[in-house]
Amino acid sequence: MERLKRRPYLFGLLAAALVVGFVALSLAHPSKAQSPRLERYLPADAVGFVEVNDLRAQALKVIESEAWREFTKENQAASTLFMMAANHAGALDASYAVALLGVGANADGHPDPQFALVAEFNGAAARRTFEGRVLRFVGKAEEKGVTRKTEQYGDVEINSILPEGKRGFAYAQVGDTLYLSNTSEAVKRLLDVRAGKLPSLETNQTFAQARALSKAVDGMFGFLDGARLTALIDNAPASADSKGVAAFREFFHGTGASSVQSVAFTSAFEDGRVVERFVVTAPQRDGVLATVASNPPTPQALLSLVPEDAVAAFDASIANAPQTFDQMISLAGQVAEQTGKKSPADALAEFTDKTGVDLRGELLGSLGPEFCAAQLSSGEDAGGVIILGVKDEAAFAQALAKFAAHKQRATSEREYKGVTVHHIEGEKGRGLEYAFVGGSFVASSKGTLVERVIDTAQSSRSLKSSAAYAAASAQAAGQPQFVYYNSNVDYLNRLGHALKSSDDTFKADGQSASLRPTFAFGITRPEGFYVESHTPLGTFPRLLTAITSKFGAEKDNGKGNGAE
Amino acid sequence: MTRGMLKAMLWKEWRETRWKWLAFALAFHIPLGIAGLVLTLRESARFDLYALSDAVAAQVLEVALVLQSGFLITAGLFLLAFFAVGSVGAELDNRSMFFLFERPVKRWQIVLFKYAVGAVQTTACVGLSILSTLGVVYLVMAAAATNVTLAGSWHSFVEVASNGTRGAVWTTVIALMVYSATFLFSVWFEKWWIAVIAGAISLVLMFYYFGGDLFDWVINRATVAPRAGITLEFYGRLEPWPILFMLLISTGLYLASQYVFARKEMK
Repeated sequence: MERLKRRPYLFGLLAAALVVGFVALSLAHPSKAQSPRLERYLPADAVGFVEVNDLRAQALKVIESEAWREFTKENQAASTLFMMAANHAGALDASYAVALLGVGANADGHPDPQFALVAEFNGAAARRTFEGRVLRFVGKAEEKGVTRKTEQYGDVEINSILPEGKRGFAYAQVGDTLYLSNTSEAVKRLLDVRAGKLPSLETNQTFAQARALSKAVDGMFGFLDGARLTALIDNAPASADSKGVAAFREFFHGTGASSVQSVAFTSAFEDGRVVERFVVTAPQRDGVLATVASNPPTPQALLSLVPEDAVAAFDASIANAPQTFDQMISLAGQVAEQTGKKSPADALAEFTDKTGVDLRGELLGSLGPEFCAAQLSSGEDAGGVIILGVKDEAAFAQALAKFAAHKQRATSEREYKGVTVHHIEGEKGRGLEYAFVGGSFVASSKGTLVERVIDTAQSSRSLKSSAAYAAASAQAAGQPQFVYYNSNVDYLNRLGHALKSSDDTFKADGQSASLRPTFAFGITRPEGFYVESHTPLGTFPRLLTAITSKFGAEKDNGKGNGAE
Repeated sequence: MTRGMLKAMLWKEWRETRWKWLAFALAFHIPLGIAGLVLTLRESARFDLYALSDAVAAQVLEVALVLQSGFLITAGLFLLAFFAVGSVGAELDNRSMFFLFERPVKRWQIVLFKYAVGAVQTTACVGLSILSTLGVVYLVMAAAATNVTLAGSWHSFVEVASNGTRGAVWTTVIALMVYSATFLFSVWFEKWWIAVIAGAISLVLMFYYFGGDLFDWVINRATVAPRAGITLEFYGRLEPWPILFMLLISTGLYLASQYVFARKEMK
């Protein structure tokens, strides 16, 4: 004891160790929003939902991302203030799920979708902040025209807010979880799930399979139950507008959408970028979907005609385009019959009358197996070019000539490096420039862009042979049906434009950065379709923008009201 | 007094007060400690730190400068009083002072050494704490914030730190005056707790009569300037007369300490 008295720092060390231990424990333990599994709170028969896990963690990943770092170099103060505004808007300390629970019938007998928002907060303070800013009607319940009803359901109180002449909503809170819906019935269903009276979505086998197929578990996750959606559409309540419902049902089945078992969507950060994945499970496909799925992979041959400094390019297989067209026309005909609107055959005849060209026979029939669209430059010189593989060059050219003659448009030709470039005069000084390069049809509204494609064809430097494209396309697994590439040379400007508020805080032009290109591809697999994209930030900035603008505005309004 | 005796006296003072001084130096960075706790425990604070960029680093440093200055001229002065009250009284209380009286050293020299070592320790601590706080904030930002770099925020750091030296001058002079007053109480009262009470009362009186002036000299002009936020150019603008006045008071208090010590009846 005497020894301890002589060493008071031992007590200090002990106290410090206790503090460090407490802090480490609190940091190591994940908060509710960090491990939400919000499917636990949704009913097993939910049609679909989208959840955002731990919004604060996602916002931190945005800050760390390659794109945001570059963006911050150009918009230093604005980007920091944007993130701080999102931080203090009071909505980051939570995970959210928005779900479609089903369709009921409203008082008039019309179908009424039941949506629900489930928010799991890190604590009571975060939940109260959210309630204070989002459920603003609660605070105004006593105001004229707003009715507030309270209903006891078990040991939970359900509040219904009904503004006069507008759609109302109902909400309930249990612990740090908030349930919000456009109907109180939906809130009751959610509470029943919580109480164990109804099975949760977690027990749904389709959901479990879709969850297992999705690689990422953080970020965003979306799920759509195909069977539930089909049942929902097939069993939609009949109403005065039954023709429209029946026509939509016909269209839904005709496109093959009813053969989709499930759709899973994930969006997560990987290596400083956002990877988004769609998994469509449809092992036995019908209708248009089956025809599209049987398209062979794109040979990506047309990308050899795209200049290597192209801003963006989309290349897809269209081998089954004529069959798809026929099916769509047939389907549209059936729908038209039910609704009594103009049939597609009439519309095609009208097109032929107006242009002098048979769309199906002369244009679609001459198409090759591949389609490519590219943007060749950014800014004021922006321009697009379309490149189509054609089976019969002469027939395609003749169709265009017929079109020009029928429309009485002036035509001209010129030679560029041994290739004939055609011009069809358009309205208001615009026109169409086109040429056939290596058996492919190349068209643009600007002659210079057609010339650049010709230059590319005659040189060995194309987008396909570029190192940037090779690196980006290395992410594609298998043989895709379509690919999309974007150099992202203009990404920061687009991001600035997307985030720009009325304060004009972000630059929306004049920014350039060497970000890794965006790449997306889609593949048909035996079990369905798979689409994957690698982008700088995905949809997260827009999500944060929505939160900042909506919640920030609420905050400002709140202050304003308080001042009054 | 020989050179050897001088060194021995200095060494004695340093050895007796070095741990206390270190604790005092740490205590003068309490705002940093609070900020560290907030960052550790509050996720939203960590998020803000993470979201910082070079462009706003200057604003964070400015806030740190004002907060540290505010701490120094309020709670910091009470800390300083606690440090100074043990200068002489404690040695009289535990009678170790009489050991010095056995040495060939004059009474005034003992007081001079104690005053000088204590004054250097406290003023150095107070003055440097502004710069050390800014340094720590600068390094933490560069280490933790994704978009803050040492090079990118260097200019901001230099600008704020160089303006901060004016605040360091003010706080050093104020600290010297408070130290001198508490030193006098330490000489006057043998019981340390009486000296603490006397020091606290005199500090409260000082705040009552001159508190507003202290804030005006160091902080207020920078924070209530026409421009929103903190205007560095108005921070701690040096005014010779108040500074000279406080130095004169410090000198007077020191001489008073010598006078009291010389006539003090010690048994």
